[in-house]
Parts: sequence; C-alpha cells; structure tokens
Amino acid sequence: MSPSESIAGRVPWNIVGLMLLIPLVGVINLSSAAQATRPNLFLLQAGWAVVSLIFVAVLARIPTRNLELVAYPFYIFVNFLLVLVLVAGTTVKGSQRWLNLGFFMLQPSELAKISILLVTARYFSRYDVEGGYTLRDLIRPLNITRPLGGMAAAYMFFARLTKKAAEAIAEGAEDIPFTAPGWLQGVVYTILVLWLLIAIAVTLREGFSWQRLIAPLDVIMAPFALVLIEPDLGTSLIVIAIAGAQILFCGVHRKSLIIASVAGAITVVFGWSFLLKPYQKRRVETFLNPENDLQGAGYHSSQSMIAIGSGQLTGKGAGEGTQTQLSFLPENHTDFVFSVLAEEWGFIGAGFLIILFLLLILAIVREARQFHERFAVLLNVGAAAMLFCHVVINIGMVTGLLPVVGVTLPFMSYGGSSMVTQMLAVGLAVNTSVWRRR
Amino acid sequence: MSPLTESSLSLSRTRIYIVAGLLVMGLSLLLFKAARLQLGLGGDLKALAERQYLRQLKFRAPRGNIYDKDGRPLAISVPVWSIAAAPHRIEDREAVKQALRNVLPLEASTLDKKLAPGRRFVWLARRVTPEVADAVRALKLEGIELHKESKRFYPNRALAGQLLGTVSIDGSGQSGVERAQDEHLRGRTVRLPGLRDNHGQKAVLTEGFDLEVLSGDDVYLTVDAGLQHVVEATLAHAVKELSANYGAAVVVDPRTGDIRALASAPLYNPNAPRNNETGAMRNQAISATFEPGSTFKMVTFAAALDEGVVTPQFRVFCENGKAELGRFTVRDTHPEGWLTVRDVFKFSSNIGAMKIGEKLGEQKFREVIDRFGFGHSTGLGLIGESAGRLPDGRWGEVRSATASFGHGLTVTALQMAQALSGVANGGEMWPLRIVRKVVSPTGEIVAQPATDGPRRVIKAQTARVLGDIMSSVFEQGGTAPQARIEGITAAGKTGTAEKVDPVTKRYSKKLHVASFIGFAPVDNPAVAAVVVIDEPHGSTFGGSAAGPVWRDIVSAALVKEGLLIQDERALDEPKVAAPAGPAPDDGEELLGLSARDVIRRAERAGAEVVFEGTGMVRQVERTTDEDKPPRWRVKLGAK
Repeated sequence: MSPSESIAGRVPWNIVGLMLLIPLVGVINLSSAAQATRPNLFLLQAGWAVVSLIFVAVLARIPTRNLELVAYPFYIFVNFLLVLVLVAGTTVKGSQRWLNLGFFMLQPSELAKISILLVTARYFSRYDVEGGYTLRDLIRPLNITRPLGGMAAAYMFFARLTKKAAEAIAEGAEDIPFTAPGWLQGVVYTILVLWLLIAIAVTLREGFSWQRLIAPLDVIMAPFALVLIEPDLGTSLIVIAIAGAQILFCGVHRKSLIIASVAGAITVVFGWSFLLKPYQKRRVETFLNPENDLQGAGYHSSQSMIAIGSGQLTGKGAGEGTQTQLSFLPENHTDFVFSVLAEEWGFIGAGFLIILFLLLILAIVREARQFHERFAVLLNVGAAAMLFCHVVINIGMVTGLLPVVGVTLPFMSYGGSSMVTQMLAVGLAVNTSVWRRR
Repeated sequence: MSPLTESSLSLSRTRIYIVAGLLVMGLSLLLFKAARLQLGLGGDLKALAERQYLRQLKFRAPRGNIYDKDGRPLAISVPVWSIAAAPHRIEDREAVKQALRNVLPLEASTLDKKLAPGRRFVWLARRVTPEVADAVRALKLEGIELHKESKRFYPNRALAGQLLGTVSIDGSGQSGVERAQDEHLRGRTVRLPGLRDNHGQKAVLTEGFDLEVLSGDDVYLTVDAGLQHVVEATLAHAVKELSANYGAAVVVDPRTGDIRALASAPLYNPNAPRNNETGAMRNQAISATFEPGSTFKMVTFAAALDEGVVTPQFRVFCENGKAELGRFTVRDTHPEGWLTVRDVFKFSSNIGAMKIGEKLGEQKFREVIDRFGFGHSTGLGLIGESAGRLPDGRWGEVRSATASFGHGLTVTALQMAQALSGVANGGEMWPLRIVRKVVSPTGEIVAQPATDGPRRVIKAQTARVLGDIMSSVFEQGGTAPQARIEGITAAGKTGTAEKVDPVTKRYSKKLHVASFIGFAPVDNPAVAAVVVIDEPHGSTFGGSAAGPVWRDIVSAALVKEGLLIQDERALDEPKVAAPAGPAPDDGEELLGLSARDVIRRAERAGAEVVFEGTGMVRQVERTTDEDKPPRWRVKLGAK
C-alpha cells in the first residue's frame, strides 16, 4: 500500500456513515429523554461524539501494523490503570470504577475493552494450532503458575468460608455456613502440591521459557478479574465476550469446546453462590420470576417494558413519552435510553435503530472477508462482538429478555467514556479497511 | 503482520458467514422481542402505562360552604397538604426514613410500620402545616407524595357549632347540617385526563379547567349569624350562672317558619372537636326531650278556645289550690278560687288548666296536640332530632288531666317553637325550615326547600284571642314580669316542670326544667322564641331562669327587624362576650380581633366582609362604592 494511493478510496463509507447516523439518533433521543432533568445533556453528548470522531480520524491514519506493535504496551498500561482504580478510584453507588482526572472521570474498564480487543487479536494472530485450540493449549495446566495459582485460590476460598462462619457465629445466626473440615483442606493442598511437583519436573526436563509461566487465558483473565472486582459485572462480561469471540473465530478443538461449556455452566452455578452480590442476585431472580417482586427490584424492568410497549407501532411523539417525561422510567438517559426511543418513536423507531446496529455490525464483519492478515480479521471480529454484546445485553435487559446488568447502548446512552470506547472499537474496523492489503 | 495462507483465508471467510448469521439471529431476537412488546402486548402495556399516570388522577373538589341567611360564612373549606407514601416505590428505605424523621413528628416504629414494603399507599401525616409540607417537598423523596386536601374550617369557631356539625377526615358530614346536607355539600370526585408523575405530582392536561366548578354546593341557612351569636352568648351565660345542665333556644320567624337561631349550651367548637365539654356536641334544641309543664297550657287553651268550649271570660273554680285527681293531688303554687280563663293562664293554675282540659275532652285535645305537630319529628332534616313522646292508647281522666298542664308527655324545644310560631302566625303554622337555599358553584340555585305552605292549626280568631291571653303573663301579677320588653307587647308563657328524679322515680322538688315561650309583637308577630334551661340552680322558675334569656334574645331579634330601637340595656351587651369597641368603621381597631368579632362589627356598620386565611385579623382593606354597602377585605392569620 503506497502512500500515494488515496486513503479516501479505501475508507469504508458504509461504516463511517453508520457511525455518524447512530450517534445523531442518540443525541436527538437524549434531547427528549433528559429534557426535564438535564436539558443540555444532548449537547454534551454531541460534543463527545465529535471528540470521538476526531480520535477515530487520527486512529485511521495509523498503520494497522503499528497498532499490532502497541497492543502489549497499551495492555500493560490499561492493567496498571485497572489496579490504580482499585486503589485510588472514586466510588459511586458501591462500585469503584472511576479515576478522577480533574477535568474528566476516566473509566479504565472502558479502555480495557479496546485493550483486550487489540491484545487478543495480537496474541492469537501469531498463535495458531492445527485443528483448533485445545483447553490444554489455552490453559497450559502443567505450567508451574497453575498449581501456585490454585494454592492461592484455595487458600483464599477456605479463608473466606472461615470468615463467613466466624461472622455468623459472632452475629448469633442460627445457620452456620459451611466450613471445609481440616481433612478436606489437607487433601486439596496435597493434590496441589503434587501438581506443583509434576509441573516443576516437566519444566526442568523441557527447559524454562516465558510460556511456562503465562498461558493464553491469563492474558484475558487479568483485565476480566480486575474489572469484575470493581465490581462491574457488565463490563467484565463484555471483556470475556470480545476475547471469547476472537478465540472461537480462530477455532477451538471440539472436545475442548464441550468441556469448556460444561466447566462454564459449573462456574455460573458456583459464581451464583459465592461471587454475585445480593443486589445482582436479586436482579437475576427478578428476571426469572418478575411476579414475585415485592422489593421493587423488578421495578426498573417492568417500568421499562411498560414504556416500550406503550409506544406501540408509531410511538407517542418526541418529548411526549409519558413514562419518560413523568419519570416513571428510571435511568432514562443512560441504561434505559432505548426505552425512551421505543416509547416516543414506537416500533418504527425501535426497529429502525436495531436495524442500523445490525447494518453496522454486519458491515464490520463483511469488511473482514477481504483481509489477508489474521490480526486485522480478529480486530474486526472483536469489534463486531463488542458492539453486538452491548446491543444485545442492553436492549435485551430493557425489553425484559435478560436480567438487568449495567451495560450501555453504544452511541445512545449518555457518557463520554462509553462514546469514545465504542467509537474507537468501530474506528479499529475503519483502520483495518483503510490499511488492508490489496 | 502474518499473512494468511489461501486455505486459512477461505476458512476465515466461511467463519465470517457463520458469524454474520449468528449476528443476524441475535439482533432478530431483539427485533422480535420489541415487536412482541410494542405490537403484541402494546395495547395492554399502554393501558398499564395509562393506569400509572391516569388512573389515580382523582380529584376531590372542595366541599361547599355553609353561609347564614345573608351570606356570612359559617363553614368553609381551606386547602391543606397531606403526606402519603407509596412504600413499594421506595428503594432506599433507611435514607427515606432518616430524612422524614427530621421533618415529620412520627415515631421511628410507626414510620417503620407505615413504610413496610409491599404496600402501595399509606398516609403518613394528614393536614400538615404549610411549613412541614414545604420541608417534605424540598426533600424530593422517591415514593413520598404530597396530596392537596381540603380542611373544614369554622371561621366563627363555636358559633352554631352543634347546628353546623362536623366533617370526618375524609370529608363526609358527620353531624348537623354538614351531615344533613352532605349530598349537596360534598365536593364531587372527578377523574380528569391529566398526568401524574412518579413523585405523585398531578398536572391537569385539560386547559383552563377549574376544579372549583366541581366544588360542593353552597348551603345558605335561614339562620342569622348575628342573632345566633347573641342567642348563644346569652344562653351560655345563663347556663353557667345557673349551673344548669344544658340550655336550648330556638328563634323562628313565624311568618315563614325560618329558623333564625338554633342554639344549644354549653357551646361546641367544631374546629377542635376534642377540646369541648363532654356532651356539648349534642344539639339539645332538637334532641333533648322534656316534659314541657305549663308552657304546654298554650296548646290546651288553643284547643279549648278553638273548639269553643270556653271563652276568655269563662269562669273556672280553682279549688283553692288543691284538687283530687284519682289517687293524686294536684296543687297550684298560688291558691285561687274562681278565675277567668284568662287569669288561669296568667297565674298558670294547673287546676284551672285541668278543668279546661276536662271540658274539652280527650278526643278533641289529642286532635289539636297532633295538629300542632307534637309526637312527630318536625321534618327539619337534621340528624338526631327527637319526636317527643305522647302516651299511647286511651289516656283516660288522669293522663288527659296531667297533659293539660304539660306533664306525662315529652316535647323538644324545636316542637314547642313550631307550635308557638303557629299560634303567632294567626293559626297558620309553617313547616320549620333551616336551609334557605342551595347554590351550585356556578351560581344556580339547585335546591330551595319548597314548602306546601302553612298548615292551619287553629282559627285566626282563636290565635288572636290566645295572643291576648298570653300577653297577660307579662302583666303585673303574671308569672313573668321579668321577661317584659319595654315598648313592646309580647305574648308568652312560662314553664317550670318538675323532673322525675332518676333515683326515686318520682317527681322531684329540686330538679326542674325551666322554660319560656313567646312571640312579639303580639298584634303582628315577627319573632317567636323558645328557651329551655335544664336543671337550673338558684332561680328555678321558668319566669326567672328562662324569662330574662328570652327577653334578651327577642329584643335583639326585634332590633334586627327594626321593630325596636337599639338599646344597650335591651341587648344586655355585657353578657355578650364581645369587646366593647369604638365606632365600627375605624379600620385599625379591627386588628387582632377574631373573625367572629369582625362579623359583629361589620354587622353594626352594615358592611360586607370577605375573609382570607385563618386566625386573627392581620390586615383590613376597605372599599366603598356609592351604591353598595361598604366592603371589608379582612386578611387573617400570621404574616
């Protein structure tokens, strides 16, 4: 690709057109959604869209090859920010998610999405296994870090059980939670120690390398875990989804896929019991059984469905949505912004937006057909996966299809970090098209 | 960058198509769900949405006012805020409780109970002060609502308290006129096409809509507030002075049957129902029944004269004060021999009355008693009116004889007033009326108690003769010279009935019902009044206990009618609990007075008064128009 060749000729105008059109719909919608509470919000959002587009224009001029080079440094920088946010972040509504930069509240978990997009593409574009990856390739169970990590996890898990039991006893609760008996702990640690010894033996025989310490999955698990404990369940799921989509696209061995699915199911059950916070559990429970809602956990969801449904085919007109304007609809300028559109513009408006998203995502995937570089293909697949997950989780939750988890609707929900992140993700797809090899 | 080989390139392309297919499926699912909500369930959800903001948009228009005959306000509705909660909408219960605890005088445990999850509506505090309402509004708490209600206010406090009655917290009349006219007074409840937001605030969509149009109708009574005040003040004073059980007074315009005043003492202030004396709420004038005693002789004489069995000059032997009646002995206070019928009345001889009754005969006597309306409710429409009790079956000699001097049967003050007004109005008795008219908020008269006209109870001639006989009571040697009104010839009758002692079940020498009935002027009666004082102490006779009260009341009424020149002594001003004020049209002098006092002043100055607010007078604006009476705009309450 010679510099003389016109960049304009290679710009994917369908993608660019959609990344102008959808934010425009979003700004118009916000002007109505927040007109009672924050009448100037849509101007701010428009400002963010313009800033984001400038970023995208800059990004499009950087050769894709150079992006490949910055993938790891950027990844390390983002993980540093994620650690920083846990130490010095600002807490809002019980979640420590923001870094106060004075002029701007930076949300590193948003950057983590871009970072995982780049780093997974970078890693798996260079790492190919015939017949697809097996779990062993991804996890590398005989690395010495596995049993060491297992020991740390077991220790933390047992300690947590003990702590919970101690708290229950101190409070005089009738049901004392389960604590692992000594013999069970002994067995677990013995297995882990044996595992460690085997790992050391294998390492000594085959010689040490970086790959003996780090497995592909570790690259994904680091930002995932850091985001999850903020806590930000929605974003951490997006991080996993982006990486997961890229890995699946590269191909996973069939047997491993089945085992991973089973393990995933077990993790969900385990996570439900030990990891989810009570409010998250309540949301899921409400989703599964909305009639049982007495505490109001399903209030958001049902208000949202009422707002959407009452819009019917043609909607109530801009600024005329009763549920929105009379503040029955919660969070109407952030997570529930789709409900505003659906109430005021009806199914015509809602369907139009969904189709715009579909066109954008399909365009991104379709561009990848022509690429000759695996890195570029994976970037597009990751960006499409990210947008798709955002759209499906957000619209799914506001329409009652999925439990309520805080995930924004790209270009529609108010928020600077979110706008920049989504734009950059699509910008990566623009970049790959601009710099594709002929 | 590592380029792809041809084979992996095609593999990549295949996968891209698979991915595209999955994306289409995923987003189609969203499209399908949106369609299901908006097109499938849209109607239901729209109805649900409307129910959220339209269903509860219920307005209760304010209750109508009650005015006296000249439009002076007796009971009015003032807007007031109440605080409610929708606990199911509260997310952070603790924060809400904490915030409310600082502004509402509620116990923590009460608040816990009220805000318990699951309920959709609960009142937290009804009718709070404007300060509390503002404080709660400023908190902007989710699930806490302010509701505009109206509160009943009686600007004249105890004036006509029992007559007006009370209203429950939910705005329905409980007693008195409030209950009797509840159907008219009650504000209509309407549902309007309007909005209600998630904080419970209402906004009507219909432009220019005025809720006042749906207010209850205003009820104008026949009562004259000024006279009512004099009657109450005088009566309450007497009840207190005489340590009496209760006092009741009824003033009627005999020419129309309009009740000008209806009072019961001890007085009752419906603004603060709990702060009144026990039993004060009972309207004794309509509910208390008593043996009338001598005042009933008016009926006996009316019957005898009407039937022509006696003439005023007919002579009756009064047995020198002691007569046998079966196994009883009837005694007169003043023993007499032969008396004319007129003097029997003048000296109130029971034996004389008994003999006149005997000549009349049971049958005819009972007919006239019935014609005068005894034994039946007057049909005034007030709840709690008693009918009195007449002996059942054949009366026989003893019962007929005791009835002729007012014993062995019971009546109410109201019934006595009705019968009295019949005699006063030349024998034509108007049905009594308390409601003059009912006016809708738009100014139409919606009800005007129609009367079938007066009923003739005795001949006009009889009434004239009886009036003359009754005027003898005030003469020297009559039973009530104390009740005489200077310059006016009145007709009256005293009554001092012995009460049955509740312990011995026999007539007591100590417990009496003192009463006085009478109308004036005798040749063209404009005022008929009945005064009853139950169990007076010290001065127990009808003439001495009830007579002066009757005199003061009737004097005041005659002044109003323009039949008597105002005279401080006649009004007996010191007994009226009003500040002795200077010339009434001096504006500043009204500051700090109560609304009731202002009404009195205005009345004397012939001015119309418009009140704003509640409490004591804060500011007065006067307007004078050439043609109209002066108008005072009086602002009440603290600044």
